[in-house]
Amino acid sequence: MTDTGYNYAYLDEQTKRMIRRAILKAVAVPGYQVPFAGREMPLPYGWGTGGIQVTAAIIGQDDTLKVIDQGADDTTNAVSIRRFFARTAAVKTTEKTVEATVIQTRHRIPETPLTENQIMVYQVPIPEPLRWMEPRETETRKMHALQEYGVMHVKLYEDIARFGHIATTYDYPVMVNDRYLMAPSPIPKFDNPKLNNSPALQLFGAGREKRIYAVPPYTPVKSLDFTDHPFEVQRWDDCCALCGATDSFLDEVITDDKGGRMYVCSDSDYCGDRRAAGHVGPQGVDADAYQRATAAE
Amino acid sequence: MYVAVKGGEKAIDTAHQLLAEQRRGDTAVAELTLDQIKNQMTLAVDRVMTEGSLYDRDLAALAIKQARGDLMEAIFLLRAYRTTLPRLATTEPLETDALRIIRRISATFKDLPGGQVLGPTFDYTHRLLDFALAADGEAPVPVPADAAPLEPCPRVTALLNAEGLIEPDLAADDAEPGDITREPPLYPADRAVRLQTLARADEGWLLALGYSTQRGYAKSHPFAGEIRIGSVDVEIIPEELGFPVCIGSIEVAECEMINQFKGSKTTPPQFTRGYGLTFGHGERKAMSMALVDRALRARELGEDITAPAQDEEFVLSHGDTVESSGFTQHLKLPHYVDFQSELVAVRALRAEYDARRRARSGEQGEL
Amino acid sequence: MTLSAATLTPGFADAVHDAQAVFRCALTALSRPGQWAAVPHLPPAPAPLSPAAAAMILTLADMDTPLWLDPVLSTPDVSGWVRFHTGAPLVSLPEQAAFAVIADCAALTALDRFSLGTAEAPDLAATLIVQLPPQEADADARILTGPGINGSVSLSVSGLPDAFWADRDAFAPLFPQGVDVLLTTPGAVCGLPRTTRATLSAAG
Repeated sequence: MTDTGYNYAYLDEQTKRMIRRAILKAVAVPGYQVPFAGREMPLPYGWGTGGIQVTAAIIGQDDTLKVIDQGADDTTNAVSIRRFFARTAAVKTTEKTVEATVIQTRHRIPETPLTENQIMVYQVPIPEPLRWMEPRETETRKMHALQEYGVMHVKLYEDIARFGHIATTYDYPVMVNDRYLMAPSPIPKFDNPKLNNSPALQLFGAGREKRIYAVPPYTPVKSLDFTDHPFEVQRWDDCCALCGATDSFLDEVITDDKGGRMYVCSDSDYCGDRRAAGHVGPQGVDADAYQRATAAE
Repeated sequence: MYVAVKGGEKAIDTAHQLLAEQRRGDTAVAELTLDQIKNQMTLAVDRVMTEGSLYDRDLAALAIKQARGDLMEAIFLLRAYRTTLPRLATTEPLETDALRIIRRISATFKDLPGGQVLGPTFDYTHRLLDFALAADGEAPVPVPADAAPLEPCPRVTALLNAEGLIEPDLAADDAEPGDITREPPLYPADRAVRLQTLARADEGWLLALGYSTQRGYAKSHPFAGEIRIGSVDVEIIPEELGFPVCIGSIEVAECEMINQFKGSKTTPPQFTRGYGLTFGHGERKAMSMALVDRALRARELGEDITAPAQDEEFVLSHGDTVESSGFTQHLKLPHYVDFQSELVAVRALRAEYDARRRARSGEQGEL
Repeated sequence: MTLSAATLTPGFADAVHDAQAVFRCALTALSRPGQWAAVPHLPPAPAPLSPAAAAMILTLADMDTPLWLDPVLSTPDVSGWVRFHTGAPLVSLPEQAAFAVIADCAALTALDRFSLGTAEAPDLAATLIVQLPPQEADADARILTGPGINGSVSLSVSGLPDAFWADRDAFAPLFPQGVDVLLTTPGAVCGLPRTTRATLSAAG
């Protein structure tokens, strides 16, 4: 039982049904933004209210929830959202990607491959990929209906003309099932390939903008590019200083004011698993010493 | 050895403790009571109820106390509570003709039936700090109640309407008005949806937009036809009874702006309306709302849409303080990943740029 | 339409958690088309409404969703049960329905009777909840492809007229317009969203 005096998972049943219906239509039309009557949540708009509403509408007593922000389980907003569900939905929570049935995320997709038994819930600030070219919803709605996406290609091409590359590095636009242009939320383009043909169902919630959209499992998701400028992801010359990974998205950490810096995995669970399995990066220590150091905090 | 930052849970708990401490302030000073807020910070309570879309003075006072006097935060608290409440009934439209008036002024006629009733207003106060208040001033002398009850106050717009000089009030059609708390916003919006959105919009936003129309960005020649403040009964019609039952009364501020309109081939020259309504004594907000309502009727009245205040999607989608405050402040949240993506890109572009420059200066050196 | 306590069967035993579990079942069905999912909670539905279809109605319908019952299901017991438990307005024309519940599968032709949504608002398309007749062992197999399906999947269903499959094919060029279908047996559900393409298996 929950301690709050509110309904299970905070939302009333009527609101959950409304969101559930929107989710089903989102799944039926992959990449299309379904308008829904988003509610005020007890957390601020812009802090994951869309993702929270989607999670609240789907989550049940048998679920295990993981919440990440910037790839990490221990960032303050991830902690806050995980607590919200532990409190209002009495749900089991985990930091392990492999144990989770529902993963709510802001800005990352876990490095550990997802499975058919998982649902990803993305927090979305601006669901409309065309917004920066056309701010009016009345216009972008028509552009989606007519599949009129020339302006996006023009925008990317202007990057190439100016910089020699496509300069979009996160929230990199994708085509879903060869039909809808979609904002993948502000994940780094590093994560875009993971959207494609994922075994997991992927749901996207934009609370303030009141839109829900989805990518069903095993659905083609293509990052926009040009034949002579193919899509490519970020690369680092360094590896993770703690676990030595060379295949993960790295956060840069400034270590002093003399230009000292190191790179560590943004996915804290992935990094921890690697260290536990004995991988040691250049500034890391072996798993036992790490355990002692973190336990001492 | 480097250990990644941990301890989000503990940090949050400590932050909440510090917040509670700051809210309470010096414990040698008596704690603020909700009654004090409710009775002495009435305009703050009014604003929180209006933009929080919930008429409950006690909860608004609690929200103000909990928010340390930050009205936007208080509005958010009330809104987040409101959204969980079950909908028991829908009230009948308020009959503001029957307002029990405590203030009523018109800028369009020197005198009119019912007269000008100044009521409690800052309007003619000299804005001099009253140091007597700082020294726990004595209770103000009460104004003796008028012996004669107020005459009926017919609306100024009704008087003009009798002459056919103002557009008729929109005919009440059978269509149920939309409900912005239950339906996603879609544009173009009808007037009912627009007015609902304006009623809970940030006062500062409406004030600035209304002001811009006065400075020529969508000029509409407004006159404050009438401003009325008072209490009005709220009625519902229970299904099993079939007739209206009064369930209480609320205080509202209402403003009807009268605006010029040249007329068209099919419409005779006549004045047009702009409407504003708030809970409590939100007179400035009601006036701003009426200006913006009129500006947003540009499409309907066949006017050129040239100014921000006439742009429906722009005005309606940026006025909600819960939305704008949340999204502006979300920039505080970590964006390490996006920023790292940009860093990687800018460094790469910069390296290419420098290489190009070196190559160019090398070529020049050879010449 | 009168309803007596004697004929009114109950809804979910646990309105909150049963609805959540059944929703997840519907979500799985529509996001993994062609695969049967057991419906975890089956309310005692008034005949001829099947328990699985009844579970979908309880989970998804309410006063905001006009619901159409086909002539076979338009009995006082079924209508009364739906009205009592969901408050959904029952509509007489298929095109008005957000949800249409169909028991007479042989008559499931002319799918364009139902709302296909619009190009700008394809989410307004109807969802059909279809009660299949008892299944025959030698039903035609169809090969399904599309979003949610890893490569292809084979689905054998009997009782649906050829016109049903032909209409779905005819809607394909209209995408994003179309209808979404939840096929049900008494205890299971299988999704056929508008994106799923079906071809008769050559082997079948």
